[in-house]
Amino acid sequence: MNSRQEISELLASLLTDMFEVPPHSITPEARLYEDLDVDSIDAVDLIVELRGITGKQIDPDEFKTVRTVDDVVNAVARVVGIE
Amino acid sequence: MGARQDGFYWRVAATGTSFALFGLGGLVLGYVIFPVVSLLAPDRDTAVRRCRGLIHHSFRLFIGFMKGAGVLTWDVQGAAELRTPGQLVVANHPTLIDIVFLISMIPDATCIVKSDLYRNPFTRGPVRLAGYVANDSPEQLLRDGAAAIDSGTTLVVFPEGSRSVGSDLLTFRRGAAYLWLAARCPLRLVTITASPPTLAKGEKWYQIPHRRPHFHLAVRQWQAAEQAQPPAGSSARDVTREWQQYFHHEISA
Repeated sequence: MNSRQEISELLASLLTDMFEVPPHSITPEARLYEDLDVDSIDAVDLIVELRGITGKQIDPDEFKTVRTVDDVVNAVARVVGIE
Repeated sequence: MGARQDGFYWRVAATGTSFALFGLGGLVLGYVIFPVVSLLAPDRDTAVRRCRGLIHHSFRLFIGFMKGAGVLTWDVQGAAELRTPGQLVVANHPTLIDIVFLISMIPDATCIVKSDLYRNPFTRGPVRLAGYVANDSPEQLLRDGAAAIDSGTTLVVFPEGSRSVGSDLLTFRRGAAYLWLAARCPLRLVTITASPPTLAKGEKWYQIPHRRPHFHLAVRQWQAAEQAQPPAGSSARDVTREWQQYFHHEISA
């Protein structure tokens, strides 16, 4: 995983596979809870999955502040060391 | 609606007495009896189990009192199935006293409480001594819920999250399904109906129905569809959807 583009694609496929989010609704500005019906308990699952893929520890507390798809991409980019 | 029947004014008075008794019982149990039980118990697990046992018996007495006083009647289909230890009990939530009925039939039951109850000085003591699960953070809720089931306690969850509004169900939240998929424990679905409806959300205690209400609880075992582990997120959605359809069908039957 070495670009934001790859992270975005990975996240989109996870959201679709794990939470039945329709692919067309996944935009950078889409809000997880309000727009995509991904709630806090889903987010726990998402963190576990991302941890498995990236091999990096993602702080659940940091995840509490994410609101949009783009926020998640940023959070993942930070832990894997891409700015 | 019809005319006021079944000793209407007697039932208003008996309902008020029941509320008072419940509040008083809660104070005495939570602030006198539980602390003593906890002091006398050899360890915290034993203390928690004893306190839950006391709640179970108090609730039995309480629903017995309400029946005796003519507030309501009830019947249960499959009550024995609720006594299996270490299972998940998922129920719909039409009235204020659903949890009272369920805990009165489950010897060692825990439930999920608003984390506010852990912060309120009046409720903090009892909920802590009974070891009820706080809904603070999702990670903690899943962890504590699964730990309770592992230890042989039965966890009661209302996926509606709050009492139903009107005659239909609220949209089920998915936490209970996540828990079940993680714990892989026996599961019972309990359909609760009150007829005529009573103690619904937004009703005052004295707004009682014109006829004496009857509570019906139907317990059903739910089989896990053994599937090749799809991602937890999508199967939690499937499971939640199946439950919601089941309850919807049951309450509209």
